[in-house]
Amino acid sequence: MNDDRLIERIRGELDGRAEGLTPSTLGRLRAARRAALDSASRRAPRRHWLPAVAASFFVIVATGVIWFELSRAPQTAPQMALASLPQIAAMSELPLLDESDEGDDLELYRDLEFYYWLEQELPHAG
Amino acid sequence: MERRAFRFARVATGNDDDALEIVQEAMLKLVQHYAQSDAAEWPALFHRILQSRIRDGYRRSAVRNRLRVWFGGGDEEDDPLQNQPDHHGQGPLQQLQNERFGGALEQALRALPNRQQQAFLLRAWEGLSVEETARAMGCSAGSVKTHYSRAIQSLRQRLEDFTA
Repeated sequence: MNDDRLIERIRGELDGRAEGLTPSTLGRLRAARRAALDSASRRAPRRHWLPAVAASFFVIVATGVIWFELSRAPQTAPQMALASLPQIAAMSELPLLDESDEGDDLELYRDLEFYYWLEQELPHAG
Repeated sequence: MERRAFRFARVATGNDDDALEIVQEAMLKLVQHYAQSDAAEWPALFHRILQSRIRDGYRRSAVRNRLRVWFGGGDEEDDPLQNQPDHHGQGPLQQLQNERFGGALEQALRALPNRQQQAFLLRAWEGLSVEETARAMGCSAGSVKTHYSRAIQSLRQRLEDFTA
């Protein structure tokens, strides 16, 4: 007997057994199916609460986000002030340059861009 | 569907009560978790749940058997012919042969490792493809092919007397 015939015979035997279940077993299987369906119908009403729960959740989250944004607004200025401290420190160094009495150096800084351009251009000009 | 499911579980567990419990749990889980799924997916989902429950039951029964051996009472032998269905409308000889084959098949299937048993029943009896069987068993298609092939080999050896 090849594999196909063996499988066919096994399948036939299993089908026969599935069909030949005792009335008692069939009754218990039907009861199990009924219990499963009953549990589904008991659970079904719960789903009606889902939209309300979802809406409440959304309102709570939205309120939280708005409250958070509003409460964060006054803190923005100090945060900006803290963030700009290095710039202020840099600005405070400007008078040092002014007080250096080295006006030529300041001129040099101002003309840095020109010197850079000159350095780039001269080799081509020469 | 529940008849075949019951036979699946019956082969795996070896007794009606455990098999009924597994089928009932599988039905409950299907209804509770997948009632909103597409109806076309229900058979595959049910098989997946059923196979998972059978595996759980298999583990529980292995623990129970070990305990029974440790604490005595392990010599109760399940008679495979005890729950054989009646084959009405057949001659006595044919009926006897069918019963013998049925008993031998039951024993041969029960002797298979759980995964081979599942692969064989899903593929050969339920007619699922390799991919569907893999999904139901939660393993790769390659594993299904291996389990199935070994199951056939083992069944052929055990049912040798009936395959001549």
